[in-house]
Amino acid sequence: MLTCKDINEMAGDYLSGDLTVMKRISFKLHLMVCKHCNRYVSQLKIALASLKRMSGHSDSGELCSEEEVNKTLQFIRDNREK
Amino acid sequence: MKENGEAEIIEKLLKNDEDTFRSVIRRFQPQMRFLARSIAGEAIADEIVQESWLSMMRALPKFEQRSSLKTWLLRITANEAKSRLRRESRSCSLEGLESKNGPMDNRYDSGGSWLKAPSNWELATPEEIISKDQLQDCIKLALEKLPPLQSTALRLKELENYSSEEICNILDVSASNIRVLLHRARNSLYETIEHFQSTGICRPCG
Ligand SMILES: [Zn+2]
Repeated sequence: MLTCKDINEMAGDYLSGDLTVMKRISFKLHLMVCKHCNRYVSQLKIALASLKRMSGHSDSGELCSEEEVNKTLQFIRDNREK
Repeated sequence: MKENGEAEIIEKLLKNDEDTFRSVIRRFQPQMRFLARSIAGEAIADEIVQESWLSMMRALPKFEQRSSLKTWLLRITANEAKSRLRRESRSCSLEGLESKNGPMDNRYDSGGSWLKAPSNWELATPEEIISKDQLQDCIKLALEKLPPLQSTALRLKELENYSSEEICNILDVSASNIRVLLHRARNSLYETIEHFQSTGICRPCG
């Protein structure tokens, strides 16, 4: 039987779908009988979703501008083989 | 995640093919910058990215393609950012793993049951949480105050959807450490929101 502290440690993997089937089942069984952990896990989910919302879409998925490409290329040319 | 044609791209890079360089920079620089900023802060992010390109040029002939070009570049960037931080602020911890106890550990008794149960959040949806400016600022502050590798692991996992394996590779930390980094970062975030909701006060360090 998982303890409440085990649930805390596994919650992130549970929410991101990274638990094995067996662990997932024991995790859910605990949530069925423990209202505190149930509350913790659902509020953690809200916390992580809020973080996602706040960041909007990240800039890392975008391509960088030609100006920046030129700048980097120039920097590499100026500094390599020194 | 290896992409087709990477061997060819690398061969062209080694031959100094300008078009290939341009496309590689165009594609990967935004992610490198995101990572550099997350670890070392906005002020020196650009410098770190540029230094990373030079390191990449030096290491390219020895690149064995055991990881994708992207993961490799991000790993170089993370290394550059970490060594920069180590040089500039020797006292601060990158991982924050010195203490055996993480946030929320004290909320459980020795048998692993709740000592201090979670309080019920009044703002109970992401929309409600982010509509409150003070709370949003508080969450940002909490992320800034986390040890850099904790907040970066959390951002890569939750915002950029990297797998834990890729994060290990990029940040050069063990699988067990990445678990602890993520676990602590999530619990710090949780307790920051909880504390704000029950007191109206921002106390980002838990
Ligand atoms: Zn429980």
